[in-house]
Amino acid sequence: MISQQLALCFCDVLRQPMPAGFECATIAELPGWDSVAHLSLMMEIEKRFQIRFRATELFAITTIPALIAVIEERQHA
Amino acid sequence: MREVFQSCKLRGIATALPKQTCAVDSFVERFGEAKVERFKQVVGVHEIHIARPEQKTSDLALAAAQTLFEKTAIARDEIDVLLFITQTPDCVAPPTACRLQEALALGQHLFALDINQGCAGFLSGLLTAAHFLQNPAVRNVLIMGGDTLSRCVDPDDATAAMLFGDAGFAAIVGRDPTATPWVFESASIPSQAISIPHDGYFQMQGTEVFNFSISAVPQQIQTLLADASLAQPDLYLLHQANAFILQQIARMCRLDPAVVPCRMKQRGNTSVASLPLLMCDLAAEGYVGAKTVVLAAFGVGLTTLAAHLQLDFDNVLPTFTIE
Repeated sequence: MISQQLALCFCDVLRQPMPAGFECATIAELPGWDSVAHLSLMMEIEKRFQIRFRATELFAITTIPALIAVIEERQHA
Repeated sequence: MREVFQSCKLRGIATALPKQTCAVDSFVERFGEAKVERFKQVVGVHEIHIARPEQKTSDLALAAAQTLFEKTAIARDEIDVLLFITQTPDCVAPPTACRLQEALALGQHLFALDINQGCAGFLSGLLTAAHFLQNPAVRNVLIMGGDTLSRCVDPDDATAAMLFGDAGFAAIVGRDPTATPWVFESASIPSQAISIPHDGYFQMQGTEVFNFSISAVPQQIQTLLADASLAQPDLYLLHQANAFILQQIARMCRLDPAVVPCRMKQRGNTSVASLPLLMCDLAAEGYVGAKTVVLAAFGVGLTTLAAHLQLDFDNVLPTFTIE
């Protein structure tokens, strides 16, 4: 469920179709990625999932599985 | 490194912008709407001022200095040191400071030198001026500077092309025995994360610069304010790097966003001029009187400086534009 919502979020922000293998992708390798897009994505994820990232986490989370793990952890905190 | 200076005072500040502007929306055709919209949302810049092709960095700073001498009671022959801080000097040699000394008809007794610094440059200038003022023979230090980074960016580098605006400033630091001490923290973490190679374009590793900014700057501000005897700041004036970075720094320092002004929307990141430009924009908005401020600047080097001092907005001239 989180994975699907996250994929939609990436498609909306990066304005790209969902890439194959999204669920185990490295974020910086997704089509349309750059550092500004990354921050835009994190802002959108905070909004959609009602969570807050620590500033030091923003670029430290580099893969989709790691991102899903942080979202799950925050939602259950 | 922590340094404390007695009897230093900012006696005047002026900032000049080139009149020509460039809307970030004008980049939609080149970079696409999605990228431009994301940039405006995250970085907070909608428009930048761009120098004309023949307009040098020194032209902008010169206009600021001329206005400063016109509007304040400081005489040109009271200036003993001229610092010019930039990453975009007019030429390799002679130093731009010497050209400005001549253009401003300052005395030949004066010591003029260029300092190669970027976003941390204004605070580097204040710190250097404070050092010069330890010599009783030095009455006033004229700090000038600016950057025309808009002409150093790769036109295909979307973030850099939309981020950097041009501006020049002038500030005079003198002596005032009644002034509250100036307290500085400075640090340098050598890195190539921001660079302008010879015959090359401006380059920035966005991720590394972001991580540096949100770790080094809050830590330095907290170290600066660890001395309980320092007055509570009224304002935190941060280098206008990127609106998102400013929000993160404010959040990490647990500051009310209202005391961390961000005025990048119509300015962009003006590098060395960003702090004086912010001060002059606030003066134009009606800020008056003395405020206790924390200044923080960070960038190429990588260099970070933070200062605690009193800034009298009555000595800050509103920002103006020149043709």
